[in-house]
Amino acid sequence: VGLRVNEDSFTLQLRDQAGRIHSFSKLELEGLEKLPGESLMPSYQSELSETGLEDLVAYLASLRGEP
Amino acid sequence: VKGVGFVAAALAVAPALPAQVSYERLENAAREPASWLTYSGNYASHRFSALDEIDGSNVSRLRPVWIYQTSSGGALETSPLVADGVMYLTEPPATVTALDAKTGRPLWSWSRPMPTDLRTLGFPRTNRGLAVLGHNVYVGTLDNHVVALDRASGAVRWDVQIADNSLGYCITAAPLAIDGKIVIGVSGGEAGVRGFLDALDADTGERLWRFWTIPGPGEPGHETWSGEAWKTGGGATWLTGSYDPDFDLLYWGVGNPAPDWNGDVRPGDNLYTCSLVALDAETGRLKWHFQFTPHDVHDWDANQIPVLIDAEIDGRPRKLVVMANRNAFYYVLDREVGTFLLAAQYSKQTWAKEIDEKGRPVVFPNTEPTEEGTLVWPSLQGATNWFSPSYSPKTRLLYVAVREMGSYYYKAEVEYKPGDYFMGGGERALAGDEASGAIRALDVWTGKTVWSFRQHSPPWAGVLSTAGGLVFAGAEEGNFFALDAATGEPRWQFQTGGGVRANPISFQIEGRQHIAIAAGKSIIVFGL
Repeated sequence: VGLRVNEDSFTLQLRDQAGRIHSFSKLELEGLEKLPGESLMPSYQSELSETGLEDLVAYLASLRGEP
Repeated sequence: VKGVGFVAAALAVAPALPAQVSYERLENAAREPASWLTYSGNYASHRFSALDEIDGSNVSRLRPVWIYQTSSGGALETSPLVADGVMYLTEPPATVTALDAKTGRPLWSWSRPMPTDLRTLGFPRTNRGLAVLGHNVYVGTLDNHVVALDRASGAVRWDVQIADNSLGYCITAAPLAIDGKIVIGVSGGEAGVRGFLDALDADTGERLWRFWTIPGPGEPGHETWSGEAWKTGGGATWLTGSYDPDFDLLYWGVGNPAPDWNGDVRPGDNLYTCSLVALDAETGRLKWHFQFTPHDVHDWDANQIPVLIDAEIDGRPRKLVVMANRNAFYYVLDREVGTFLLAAQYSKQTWAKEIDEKGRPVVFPNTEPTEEGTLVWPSLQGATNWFSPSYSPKTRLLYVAVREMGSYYYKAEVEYKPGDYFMGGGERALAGDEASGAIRALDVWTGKTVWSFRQHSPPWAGVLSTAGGLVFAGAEEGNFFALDAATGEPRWQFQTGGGVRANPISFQIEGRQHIAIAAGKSIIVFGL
């Protein structure tokens, strides 16, 4: 499983969770399944309360400095 | 400035160059596969090469032999010609280059500077190719000049202007050279031009005839327009047509009516937009027409390549013209009299219930553009577009590059202003993973899909088939590839590094078969 970095009619380039790039020839793949809309990021759904999420966003928004 | 003369001694004496590319050579181009003498390879527009050196057993060894990098900007959509060891190509916006076909080294180059106020409304600043006849090559320019250049030197032999760019007219198509005539079409359907097709004297550039694609008052077909709409009715002729020397008929596709998406201002069928017209090559008079999409409101120009095929149907020999149309239907017509014989859907479409027995579409209700947007397949770029199909007389299949994509079509108010966009709406195409492409092999007699090779995205590249049993095609992502002509199985692919938006050709260098394609901003020639 990896994140699609690039794709054409013959090849596919994926980045795995460790950041490694894997290049595949589609003709050599036994199967290929797309998972549209799914993210490799772990869900924060049970990690933060609604208030905690608002606090986090407010903190991030405050991090404005010189570029 | 004095030049430097050389005398090169060769071990083998090369044959003398033919003095000219005669009309007879053009008429018999299919029997001269060492060259590629017309835009589509022959007058029947088969884009088929009788060369069979490169085949399924060795195509995996195909490799670049030379690369020519163009120096001008813009979209490289050229389909080169090859005659007597020289490759001729166009570079955007208005350059013709002659290359040594063996090495890719330039022999001469000619350019026409484009005016700073050049209008290209609705298409890129591109040029799709040229024609060769006699001692000359012929090219059209975005500012509507048709120019004859000496094949040997690039010197200008004549230069005529056929239309006014300030009204939105341009030339992007390759001319078609027939016996003593240069036939050339124009772009401008998004600017509300009145389309036409011109035939020019090949020796002088003098206009021999003009066919207006939108009939004027008193002419047949004018009744399909209302009021003054015909004056700004579109009907551009922006892609090279085909020619049958026996009937002396030209077959030419005609583009969309204007404004594109708001048909309220032009009630009626709007002839001869979205039609195929058959014209007497001597006079330019209309012999017959067939309209694929009456009163089009989706910008489905019929500027696709008409392919001429001789066949026996139900025991009777027929001379046919077939077209995979932008509206997602494949059509078979009798090319002598224009009789509709068959239509078959070859790509996803949601606008027509069927094509009736006369060839007219039975349109679903509520498929017209709206202010809110109406989702319809195919997209305005169509199920296919200007890029060439290929017909193989060996497999009797028509190979088509297909775009599987839908669009939301929008309608808006529009007022005609000379030299400005006159479209009346727009589109939002479904892109990304919602769209795809295919190279599809159609049975030419039934239109049924025999095989289909899926492409990652909708293509803008044409197809070449060969006697070696291969089909060459290209992709937006830069892949140039070969498929088995009988099965569609992939046999070879090469990453060119630039999007392929052009048509492949094949020819010989010193008796060896080569394949050429424009990709990115380069011409790449492949050989074994």
